Amino acid sequence: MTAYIVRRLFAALFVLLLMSFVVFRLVRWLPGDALLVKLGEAGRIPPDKMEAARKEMGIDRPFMVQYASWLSRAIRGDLGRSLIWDEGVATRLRKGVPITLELAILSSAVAITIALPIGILSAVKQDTLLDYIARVVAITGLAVPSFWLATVALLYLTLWFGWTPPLRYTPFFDDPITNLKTFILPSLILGFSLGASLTRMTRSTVLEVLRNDYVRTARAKGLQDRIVIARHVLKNALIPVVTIFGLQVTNLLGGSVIMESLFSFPGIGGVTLQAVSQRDYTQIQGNVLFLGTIALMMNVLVDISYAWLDPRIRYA
Amino acid sequence: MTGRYRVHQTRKAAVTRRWALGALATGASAAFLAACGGRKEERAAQTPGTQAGGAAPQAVYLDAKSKPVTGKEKIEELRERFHPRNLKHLPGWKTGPKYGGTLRFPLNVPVSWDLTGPAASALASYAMFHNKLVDFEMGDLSENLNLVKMTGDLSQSWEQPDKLTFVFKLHPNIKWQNVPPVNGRQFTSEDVKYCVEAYQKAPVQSVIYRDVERVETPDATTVVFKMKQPAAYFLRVLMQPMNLIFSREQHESPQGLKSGPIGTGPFIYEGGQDRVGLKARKNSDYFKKDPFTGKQLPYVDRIETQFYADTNAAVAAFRDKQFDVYWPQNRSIWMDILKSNPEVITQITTPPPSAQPYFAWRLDKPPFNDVRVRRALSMAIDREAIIAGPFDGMAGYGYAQDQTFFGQEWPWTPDQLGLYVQFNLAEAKKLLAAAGFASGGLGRKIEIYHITTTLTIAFDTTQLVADMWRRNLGIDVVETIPPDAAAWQQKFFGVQYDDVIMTWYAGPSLDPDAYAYDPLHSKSPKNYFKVNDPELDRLTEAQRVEFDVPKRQQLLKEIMQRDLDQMYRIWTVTPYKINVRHPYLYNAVDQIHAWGPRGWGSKVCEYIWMDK
Amino acid sequence: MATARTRDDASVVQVGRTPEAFRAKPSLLVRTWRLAHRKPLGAISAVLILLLVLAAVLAPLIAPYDPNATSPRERLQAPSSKHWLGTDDLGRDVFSRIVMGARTSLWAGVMATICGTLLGSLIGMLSGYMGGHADMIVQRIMDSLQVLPLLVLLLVIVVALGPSLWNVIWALSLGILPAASRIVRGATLSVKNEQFVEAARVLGARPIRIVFRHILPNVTAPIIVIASVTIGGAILAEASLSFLGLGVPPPTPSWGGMLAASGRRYFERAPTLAVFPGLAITLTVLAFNLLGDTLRDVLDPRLRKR
Repeated sequence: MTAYIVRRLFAALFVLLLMSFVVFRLVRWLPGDALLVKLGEAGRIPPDKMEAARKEMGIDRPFMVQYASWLSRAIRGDLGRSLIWDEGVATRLRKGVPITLELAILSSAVAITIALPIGILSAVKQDTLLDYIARVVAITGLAVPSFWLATVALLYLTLWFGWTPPLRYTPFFDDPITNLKTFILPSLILGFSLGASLTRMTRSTVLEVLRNDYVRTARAKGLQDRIVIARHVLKNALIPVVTIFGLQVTNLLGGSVIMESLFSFPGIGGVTLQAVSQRDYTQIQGNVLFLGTIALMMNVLVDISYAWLDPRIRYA
Repeated sequence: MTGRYRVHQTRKAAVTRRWALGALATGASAAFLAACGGRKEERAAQTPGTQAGGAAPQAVYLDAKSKPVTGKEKIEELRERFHPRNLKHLPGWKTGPKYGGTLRFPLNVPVSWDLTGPAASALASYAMFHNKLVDFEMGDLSENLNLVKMTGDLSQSWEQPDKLTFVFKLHPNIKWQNVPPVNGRQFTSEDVKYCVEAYQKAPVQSVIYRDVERVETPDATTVVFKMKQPAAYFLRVLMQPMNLIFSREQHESPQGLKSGPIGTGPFIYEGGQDRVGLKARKNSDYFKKDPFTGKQLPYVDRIETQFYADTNAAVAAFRDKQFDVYWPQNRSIWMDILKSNPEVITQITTPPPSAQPYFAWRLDKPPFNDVRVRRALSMAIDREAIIAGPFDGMAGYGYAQDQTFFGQEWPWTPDQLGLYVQFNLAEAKKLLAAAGFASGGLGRKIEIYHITTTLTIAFDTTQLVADMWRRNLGIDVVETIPPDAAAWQQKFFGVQYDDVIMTWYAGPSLDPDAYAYDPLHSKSPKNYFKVNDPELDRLTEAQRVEFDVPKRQQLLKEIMQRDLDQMYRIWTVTPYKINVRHPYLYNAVDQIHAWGPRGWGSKVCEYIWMDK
Repeated sequence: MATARTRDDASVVQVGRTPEAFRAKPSLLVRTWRLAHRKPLGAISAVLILLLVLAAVLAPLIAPYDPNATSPRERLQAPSSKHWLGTDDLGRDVFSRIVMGARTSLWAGVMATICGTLLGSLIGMLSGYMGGHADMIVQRIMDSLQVLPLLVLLLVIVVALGPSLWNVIWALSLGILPAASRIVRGATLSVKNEQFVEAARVLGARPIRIVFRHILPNVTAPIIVIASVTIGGAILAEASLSFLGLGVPPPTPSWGGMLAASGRRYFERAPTLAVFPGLAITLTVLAFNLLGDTLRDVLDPRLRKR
């Protein structure tokens, strides 16, 4: 098992290195640069002043020099300073983590609460009215664009019920009630979207497992359906579900860019989007590295959970 | 004046006399200010022509409750009904300002607090922590917020003994804020000198002080500017909010000005986070008193700003009274807010020259190097339709020159802008034929580069113009949208656009020089249009050194005439500004060049008070 | 007549009637009809998609007005007999724009899915069959693509290349690639060790031939399922990109663009501007997802209902 993890770690490092290089190259193809962004409506200033400013930001050096310099610091854990903001890259990331984490946790909770019970019920009572309703609702949840839903919800909540959630971010430990009021709408919308695909996956894997011989045996033995499901079906059915859930959580941790921008949450997704549009190269690098690491860690976690769920799976 | 342009065009005869008096008065004040000397802060009521003709004012309806807003009113009616001069009739002014409260409005933190860095132009929106030498009048009791009136800030008075000298007399008891590293020490003229010398090397402000030879400080409350050459623009640009005075101690500290905004200003910065907002508290040792009421400033205890990435979220929060003042982008949003909150107070301000959608085109490449083509394309634009469309009537014809320098309150009228802004398809086709395009079209695809789609009215205008050129002149127009703002900046500020590009920026500035010299002089770095016209070079250089106001106005008029005659840029329309606030808020005003308290009007925070 | 019935339909033998295995297969039409009966949701969605494709193809004929013709004085009108779905903020006919928008959204979604799935499948098949170091390197590259947050990837590509229909399609394909390659590689791995592949190899067949002749037919089912399931996601992704301002440039109508530009701004004054494009997106994605579900049910033997 340890050999497996070590191999995975090496592979992960290689992937991260490759990815950071690709991104470094890619973002330099973006038109415009950080200095013009900073100048804003001041537009163009005399050329000598522009050169001096670019030199101070470090963006006038050749590409490989910039990459090497970044890499040498990143290896030691120093992600550098943002090109645009007067802050360190890591600091800006860190400030966004609690928001994204909270949104991720709440949305996942909503998704699981919807998906597991409905998916299992739907599979057990296949082709009944309940199943059809569940499937149509799940598929609708997949089809409705979440940004549309959010806009509609916000507007009609205000107009019809006169209730607007507090739209300014309050940290949880400052004021838990306001914080939860702010988070409830986006969590529900996001959770509904995610829960939809999770429901479908749960349903199809449970269906698959229910066909198996050992389930027929258990039923023939006279065991109640409930016990059959809990003891025999669930663990096996959950493997693909866990895969999808892992992917979803990875995406959530990357910061749901659209939700964050609609509700003005200063989370990681927003920092990343902002960094790209501001051509903040160092921030983009740092964010991508961070998010890549999270994704890889989630992959390992998911794979390890397979071993726990299905004793037949062993990693040499 | 020549036959083609009339200086003042008034619609209603009944208003003419009062109007002319007002124009004369403000023109005279402008001349007085610029040429002869300073004066102490004045009460608004002194100048003739600004009160409602001396008679009892007509009834004032600043909200939708006392008199509904139907949505069918013409702009002339709206701009009189919601005119800023009516704000003094709000009920709270009977008793006068109260102290206390927390001001909330949408504002993010800036990317950098370094006033001497490249991001300094954004810091004009954060002027509530500092002061500058001179300012412009703001507040409900102002004479006329559609015009520019210089007032003192750090200085009490100023004079111009000769063409190369400006003398400012400072308030005697200004103190820096009681935070490290300045710790409440006395402010002196040396602080001003230090700042100006630092600004002369800064990327953004150096252009303002380019003609300053040296700064002298004969005593602690006197600052003398000695200029290299006459600079007619200087006083007015000093009013611009990026000229904030910072301290030597902070500038020389290891972190420099990046550590935060520390000044002499009415509020003390407490902290802020990107995409959340900032917090500030009142500076109880602030030196300034309200020039209108004589009371100690500031009135509110705290400022807490918020950030909204999405317009719908901002509108929802405003309706829910989660913050106090808002600036609806267009008439639609304004009407929506009035429907749900008819009690909000509205102010409609004249359009600023600096924020309007217009097009730049490559004057050095065919087909736009032919003036007939340019005139034709401009005449194919139905500006009335654009005004009626996305602007819902709340726009005027656009041209980027400050009409208030000529004493004119409202935007330029079509008559003042010449032949080629009139919608005349027959004439346009004739011109195109004369230029060699008799069969319609321009012989090849023409690319129009949009500005970012978040600037929605510019986006709409561009689409309309593109469609008008397609349908009316048969031109094969290809529209390109920039993926984001930085890509557009590269195209426009880097002058890398191929054919036509939509832009929004002119100036910004409080002096006509930036609207004349900067875009039109062949050697100006801000000439993004490749204008190369020796006549304009001569005229723009001349207006810079002309202190006599009528003479300078004449020069600027000639520049405007030539610019419009040659159609060096395509003008469309310019939107009026709308400001709505909850009725408990006072003094949260816009001015022609400023949105307050956001943008260049951030200084107005010191005047804002609440009746809650 | 007595019939022996077990749970296994295939083994029902009714006395006096020809066993099913020997009866002539009914015509394709009849089979399709029967399938439609068994899977009503799939049938409905197939019909919907057909209508959609027809609308997209025949759009210039169906649209009563030029979708790009602005008429600013007639903006934001409610649905009427003159304009069936009203007009947008620049006075353009909404119905015409939705019908033309079907072209853009469908074209973007379908082309992105085809490109991404085909390319990804190719990579997955080759990589899976070749195995060894080549496989490992290719997989790591795919991993690094997948590990990148999708929206960041799309953003960077579209910003770097400029927003245009084909650039959006390339960007979306790149997002679909890694997942398709991973699934097809998995299928390839399981087929690779089958006896008939071994036999072909022993007989001296070249690897390319083996891949395309023997492996490809057996991984077609997962490829089809991926494709049908991804189309919906691709259409949604295009709408999201348009929402962020990175989609197809004006004046070409696209549903996501309509939502972003007019729907969001005038939601109170003219809700139809947001409702109809949103509905169009939802119904289209719904139809494709249902179809994908049905295809998977039909093609995957393990899920067939007994």
